[in-house]
Amino acid sequence: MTTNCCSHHPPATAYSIINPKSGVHLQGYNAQKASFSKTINIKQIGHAVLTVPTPASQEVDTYLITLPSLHIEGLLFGSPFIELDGTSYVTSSTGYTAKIDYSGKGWLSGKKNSFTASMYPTGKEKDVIFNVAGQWTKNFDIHAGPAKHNGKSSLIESWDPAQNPTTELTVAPIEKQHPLESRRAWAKVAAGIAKADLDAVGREKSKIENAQREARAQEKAEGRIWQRRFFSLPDSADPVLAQLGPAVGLAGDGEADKTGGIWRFDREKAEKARNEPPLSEEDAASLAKELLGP
Amino acid sequence: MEPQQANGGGSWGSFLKVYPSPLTCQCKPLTASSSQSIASFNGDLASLTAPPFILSSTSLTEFSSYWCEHPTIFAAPAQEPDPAKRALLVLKWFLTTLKQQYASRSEQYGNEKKPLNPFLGELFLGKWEDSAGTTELTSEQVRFVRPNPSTP
Repeated sequence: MTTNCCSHHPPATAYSIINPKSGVHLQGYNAQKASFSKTINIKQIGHAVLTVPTPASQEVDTYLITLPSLHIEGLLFGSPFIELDGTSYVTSSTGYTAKIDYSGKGWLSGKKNSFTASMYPTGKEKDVIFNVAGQWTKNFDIHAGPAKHNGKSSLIESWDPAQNPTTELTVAPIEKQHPLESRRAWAKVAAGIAKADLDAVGREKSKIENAQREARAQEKAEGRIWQRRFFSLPDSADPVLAQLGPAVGLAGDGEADKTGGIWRFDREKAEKARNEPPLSEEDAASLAKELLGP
Repeated sequence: MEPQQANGGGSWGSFLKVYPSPLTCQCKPLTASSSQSIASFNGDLASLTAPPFILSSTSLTEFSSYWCEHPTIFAAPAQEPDPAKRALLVLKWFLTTLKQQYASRSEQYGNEKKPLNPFLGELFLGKWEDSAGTTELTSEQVRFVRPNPSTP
């Protein structure tokens, strides 16, 4: 028996990030397809959509963001790290497109994690308005105009991650989380990994996997499907991909066949989830037992 | 430094030496009993059975947070009236996320480890509070492939 491994849908994660004060909203989904040739090569499937309300009018800009492919370097030297390759795009309803070329051990600088980017009116790649070059792990410089005129006078801004500390994400304490929240659900596996207790890791992972397998079988038997809590697959064609996809070579189906659909944030579902009272301890325990095992 | 690192090759390198056969075709027949290694690799990275020394206790659902570790840069385009400069600010934000997305784990742990394979319906929720106000993260596993396909 041969499994039809090449047509299956890889696992997909969907996300939404909202800053209510500015109205800026990012959403997208992400799946990975890996192949092995000299090293592990990973093609990222999926894309992100950013919407930005404009300050002067009631308009909202829409940006379509594609993802670079990547591979793992340093495998044989015992310290693997990710290197990006190929090209990715940010194109938008403003009429501008940015193209980012990733060059690994940069042919320009000879440094790893190098990239160059240029922004131009969509479809007019030669008319570069801004260009960016540097290392995505370290510093990069933003210049006005095409790269051939780069100099002190064209420099707009330099980015240095060391000068821009990240803001830490706050996550609810584990006991206050929903039973399906990642850190609560995986707590016992994580504890096993921390102690390098392989038996515990295997045992606890199996509990989750078995419970999940049973839940899927149960759904199948009852003719149900698992209800996603925050995301949906819209029935109609996706308007963002229809408008912006062609400029970056993204088909209207957004590689839907590879991720089992184009996942979009569902505000109604999110509102409903937000208004649900927290689960009682008994309900949380029984849900966890059903979906994650004893 | 990882504690496991000391006791002999805590890396993907030694993993690959255990499974050295190069993959020429991703479509290899899988038997019901095979646990997946590089040698019977179907292209789904999360389905690889990895030796424990390269396991991370962080799930892939958490990776969504890498999009917004600088919330002020994320929100900044909404203040810019000029469309070209607004698009540039979006590009700048995107470029600043790459370090978080693809390099922060190897910087934190010394090397890239295999994340936990999320189950269907797994959630990762959180928020950032800073001068940009509150920024809310919702991450959900919407598709899942069982790690050891024992049924067609």
